[in-house]
Amino acid sequence: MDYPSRASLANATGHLASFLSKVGGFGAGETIGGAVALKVDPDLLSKVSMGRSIALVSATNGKTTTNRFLACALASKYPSVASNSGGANMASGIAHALSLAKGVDVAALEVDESWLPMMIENLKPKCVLMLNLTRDQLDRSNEVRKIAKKWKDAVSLNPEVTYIVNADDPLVSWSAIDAKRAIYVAGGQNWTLDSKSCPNCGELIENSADGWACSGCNLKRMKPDFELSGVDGSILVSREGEKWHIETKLPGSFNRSNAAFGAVAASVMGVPLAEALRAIKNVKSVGGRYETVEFNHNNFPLRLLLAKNPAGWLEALSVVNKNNVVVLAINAREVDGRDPSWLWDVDFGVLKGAFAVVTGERARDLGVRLSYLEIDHVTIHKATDALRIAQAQAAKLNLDKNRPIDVIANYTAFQGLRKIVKKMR
Amino acid sequence: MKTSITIVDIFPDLLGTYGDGGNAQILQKRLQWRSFDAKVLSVSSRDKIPSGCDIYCLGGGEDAPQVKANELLKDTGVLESEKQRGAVIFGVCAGFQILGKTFVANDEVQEGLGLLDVDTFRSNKERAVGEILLRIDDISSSFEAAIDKDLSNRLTFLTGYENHAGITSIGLGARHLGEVILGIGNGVAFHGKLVDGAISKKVIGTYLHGPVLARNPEFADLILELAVGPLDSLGSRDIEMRSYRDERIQTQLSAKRKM
Repeated sequence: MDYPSRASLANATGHLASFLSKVGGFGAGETIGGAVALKVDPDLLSKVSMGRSIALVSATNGKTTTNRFLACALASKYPSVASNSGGANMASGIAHALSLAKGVDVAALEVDESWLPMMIENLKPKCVLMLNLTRDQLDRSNEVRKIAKKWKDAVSLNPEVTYIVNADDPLVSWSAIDAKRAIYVAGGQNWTLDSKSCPNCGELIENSADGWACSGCNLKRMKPDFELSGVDGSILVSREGEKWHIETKLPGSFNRSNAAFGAVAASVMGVPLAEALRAIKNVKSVGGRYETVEFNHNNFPLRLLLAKNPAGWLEALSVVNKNNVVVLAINAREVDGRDPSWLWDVDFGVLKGAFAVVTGERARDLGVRLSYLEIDHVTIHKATDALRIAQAQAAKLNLDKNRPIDVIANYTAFQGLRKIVKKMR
Repeated sequence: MKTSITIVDIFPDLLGTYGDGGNAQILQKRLQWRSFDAKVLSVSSRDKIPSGCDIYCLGGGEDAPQVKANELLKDTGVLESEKQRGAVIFGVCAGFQILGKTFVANDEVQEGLGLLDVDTFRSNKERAVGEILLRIDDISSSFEAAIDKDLSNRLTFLTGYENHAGITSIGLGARHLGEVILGIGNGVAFHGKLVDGAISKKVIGTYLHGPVLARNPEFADLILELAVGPLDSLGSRDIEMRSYRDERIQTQLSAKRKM
């Protein structure tokens, strides 16, 4: 693909910055490269998107995983797929991913929730996946409804795009209301605390056998085009009654839902659903999430789970081994959100019976939370020690050495743990 | 002394944005650890708020849910009569604003419950988001009820986090909760000092969320003492809570020094 000259210069400068960032050891180079390129040519995004078939994936939770599922599904048909698989999901990371993939016609891109409107505007995507919107980093985003409103405005300005919408999430459904082409997937939403009142009129949202509906206005759950049914939602059923089996190596019903969204999006992009689901089946871990790793050799393996906000923790806690030792790690850096008060929104009561080793820079916040629930725990600030103590405790309790110890961490805590584990296999 | 205590968590479905429901759980546990029979009634916006309970808690919330909660509360009138009866009413953030006379939400001035003599305006500056630390000066003098002097002496700081766009001015019928050392709080001077919160009888409002009682065990006990009278120390049960409080206060004070 040839770009106009300013864009080429921007790209070249961006690649140089990215290269310097990598060799300098500052980062993976995805963000800085894009940032520099965008500085040189602010219209770079619309230029690099020209002539491509692009799918955008956005959500509070599950965007990286769903994007990976989608990219794998697309790769079963297309020889090459552009994707920001490293998770750099703002303008600069997206610009970088697209400008690297010259001559690639198809792209699967995850987009940060607050950047989605700008990306829809600039990239003119073929389809947009809208999975869920829940509270996350309220110190930065303040109110989740403000993001839903931004999404809604972007949809009404770009109604020709195909939107793939979670019918079970009232905020997301509301934001897609002006879409001309919407595909509704009943993807589930176990976290309901952000949608108790209607985003449209403020009245209460009622739940019944037909799904959610506002008691004050017309907003209600749309009849889904695709539903998950069967035991733990492993069968995808279309409105016409056609059925597909969903299989994934990643745990939890939320990942089967992510797989469904990825497959439906792939079918919009020209890959038959069955083929898409076959490709998705092979994804084992996503950026280290769900990976079972060795630590402190010949000791209990660790399974790493990433959870960044209350809805994410709800899902992660639903898959942990409860009668076991668990490690919980919390930081509160800029990208985690500076305010860990959301720990009180998570029902850690489900860990009753488990022994928790709490770690991370804000371990005390969580330790106190567990104390008030009377859940057995120790607070160990240093992560390496925390992992060792968890293994020692598991040995003391005579637990099965083949069963991994679940480690749940929020964003920067997760990155830190991955580094430690890599060093000390 | 009354040993059976009921704490009401008001509308967690509307006023529960920053984990503030934790405040009611913390109050309950701290009573149970002292052998009280304490229960929490979580009253959703679909249900009726019972009268005759001991402590009523309101948390933070976004604009639309805040307006809805305020309407429902005004309709019942229960908190107005509970204040007169002498119940403890504790509001955080949006809940604090509702307890006042007026506040702004959905771009309109809303009439609140008027239990605290405060009016809240919309700040035209940036939202107040970040760590907040208050200095507390002889809290016992703010209440007619007898507060254990030792507890009052130990409650010298309140540590928390704030996230709001309100500026709250205190009228003649209320006093403030604490003086702001770090952060914004009410956002307007009161008797020449930057302050946070408001107190009138046993009604307390503050912008500190988090939930504030997790970080401040003495403040939790203060609220309990307003309801049940003097309490014994929790001793070793409180070691972890106190280390947490100290860690937060130290971090905030060193942030303050760097400013």
